[in-house]
Amino acid sequence: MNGIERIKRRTWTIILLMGFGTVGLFVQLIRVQYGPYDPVFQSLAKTSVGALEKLLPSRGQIFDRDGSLLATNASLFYLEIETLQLNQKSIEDIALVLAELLTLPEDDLQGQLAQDHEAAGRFRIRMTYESEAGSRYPITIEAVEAGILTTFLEDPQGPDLSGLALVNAQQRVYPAGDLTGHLLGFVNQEGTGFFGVEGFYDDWLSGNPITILRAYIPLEASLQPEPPAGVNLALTIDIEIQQLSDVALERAIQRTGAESGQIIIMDPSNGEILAMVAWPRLDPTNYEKWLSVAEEETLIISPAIAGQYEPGSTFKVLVMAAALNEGVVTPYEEFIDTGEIEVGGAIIRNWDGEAWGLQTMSGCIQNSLNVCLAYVGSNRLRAGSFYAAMQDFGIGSLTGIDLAGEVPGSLRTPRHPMWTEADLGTNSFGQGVSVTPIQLITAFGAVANGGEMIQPHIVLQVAGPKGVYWPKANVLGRPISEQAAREMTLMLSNALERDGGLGVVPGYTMAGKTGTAQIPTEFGYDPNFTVASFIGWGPVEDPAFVVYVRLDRPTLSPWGSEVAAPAFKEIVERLVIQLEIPPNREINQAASLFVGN
Amino acid sequence: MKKKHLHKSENKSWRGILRSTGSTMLWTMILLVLGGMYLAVSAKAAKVGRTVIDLESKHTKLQLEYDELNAAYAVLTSPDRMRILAQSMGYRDAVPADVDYIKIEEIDSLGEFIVPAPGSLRQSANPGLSPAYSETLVDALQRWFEAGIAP
Repeated sequence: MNGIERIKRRTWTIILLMGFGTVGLFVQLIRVQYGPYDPVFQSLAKTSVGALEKLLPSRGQIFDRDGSLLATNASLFYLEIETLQLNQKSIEDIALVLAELLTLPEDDLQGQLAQDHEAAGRFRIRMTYESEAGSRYPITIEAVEAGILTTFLEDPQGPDLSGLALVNAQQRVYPAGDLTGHLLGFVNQEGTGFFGVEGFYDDWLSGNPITILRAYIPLEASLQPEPPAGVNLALTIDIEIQQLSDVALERAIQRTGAESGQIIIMDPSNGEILAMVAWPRLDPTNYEKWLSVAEEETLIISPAIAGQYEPGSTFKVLVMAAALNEGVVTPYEEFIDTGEIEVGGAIIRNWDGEAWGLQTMSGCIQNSLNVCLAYVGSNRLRAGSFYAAMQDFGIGSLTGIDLAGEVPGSLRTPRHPMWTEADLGTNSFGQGVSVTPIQLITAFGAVANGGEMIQPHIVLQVAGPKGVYWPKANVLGRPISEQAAREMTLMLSNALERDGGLGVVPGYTMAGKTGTAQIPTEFGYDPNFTVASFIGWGPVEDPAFVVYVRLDRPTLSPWGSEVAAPAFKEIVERLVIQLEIPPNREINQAASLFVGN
Repeated sequence: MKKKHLHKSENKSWRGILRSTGSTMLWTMILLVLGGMYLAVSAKAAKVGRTVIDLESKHTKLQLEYDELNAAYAVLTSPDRMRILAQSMGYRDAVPADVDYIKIEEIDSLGEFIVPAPGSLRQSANPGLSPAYSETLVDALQRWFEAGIAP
């Protein structure tokens, strides 16, 4: 072989290699353009992966007033399938791995994978699971499980998971769990907040997503702008007070056999809500399950602001306070209780059906006499002043608390076409009017706060990119004068001194009122069940808290005095320690605090 | 005379070739230097760009990890869990009789909690890709031979 031959052979070898390379390149190009990945690359072109990219800011965090984290974010992953990448082996392997890893039925998973997705025009599907109620929800996995799947995906010797993709998303984490469920609400899988704080401040918390031009060529890379993040919130809630309230409520429900219940604690001087708990608890991370149960059992999310009911005897405090404010009664004015009174054709009797004889107005409140209060409402206040006063107390209108889902309750005034004179009589002792717990505690807050009614609120601080902002407390009005508020407080406080009860808190002077409300049904009032409640505040000299306790349908006893008052006592005994309120008398000296039924 | 003339002509051509070769070499050298400089600058810019991309990716990853740890810590110290732990250690809820109040004038109150500024964690809304998309032609051929399924 001479030199020329050698050169020729080498040349041909190089040409052949280059030919193979070119053919391979063309095959790969054709495969990409027209092969099984064609729809994938088309979708990539449409979504502009690698060019335009949508960036989601992290949702704002929520803290309690002392900095305990109540809501934050963590990663979760959805499982998606590129259907064109599936083959028989990968269908089996994906179903097996997911079934073992996530304890899900393998048949169901395989069924989802083995469908003729191509014929249906589906090129990417999200794996789902079936809940106990029969609904289907997307499968989500956390970082640890995602790590295991990624290891499998990257291992050539591992199971064939061709087509499986992990899609990263944000998950809302609530460290206090169901302790704050009704208060905070929840965030759905699309990142939208519902109910409570999450619902009310959704726009602020979620921030603004931005679209950027992402350069993957290093020469074109530059620092990308950050999407404007959602604000962080500090709430007025003290998680320790929230917990002690929850513990007290749980004990009360177990002790009394009640169906449900709520506790709210508010600072009457500034409207700050220190605690707001409800039972049954709502787990905000598993809200779907709770919602399906709630639908069947007509449970309410955030019942403190959405659970309207007829308040019963607690309402008498507002009626008497309005009468004192108008100057139509005095605390020591006498009234002879004959056991019944007729107002607008309706006969009103006392809670025990008895005649209580000669009573003062203080006695009427202390003994919670329906007849006396119906007299005060209909004969002394009269309809005009009565309804004006109730509206001043915010009955029938929203308090404007910064929680999503508040309802206004209802107050039928003489302007209403269905209103009758009898309504005035029944409304005077808390029947025929519906209120929410937040309305009632706000109105009681006005009595405790010297007549000035402060709007209840839940957010203490808002931290945005430009700094921290402290929302100011709004004054809703002055439904009663300072003197009327003082007289009302004194009436309740003196009544408590004279009467003993399960709500007594040694060492502290307080005021409070029980309520035992009947439950209206389609066929009149429920003869078996009641709503038992207690609202009290203290210390009387300088009120630092108003506590609202409500228990629905207790089986132990129908009376608020026996059911709700002990829970009030339990809460206050721990609350005064939390708030560092020293006793204003010897602790061993029993102070009476209880009034009426 | 004729031979001399020929020699002169050959010399002239040789000089021309030398001059043009020199000139070409000079321009080539200039181009090479410029090219080298361009490549050096580009390589440096590319390196910086790669660092930016890497750091951005690390930044996001670290923030995610920070959030995970923060959430895990908050869950571990949640009120319910702490209460159970305290009870298991023999503690009970305090009652007013347990507490003595002493007013210390110098200490008014503990520092108020100021809510921190929001973080800047960002997350791509674009769907992730299955790792199988990175399949090369060799991988596809291998898969084809092994599983008997056309790529």
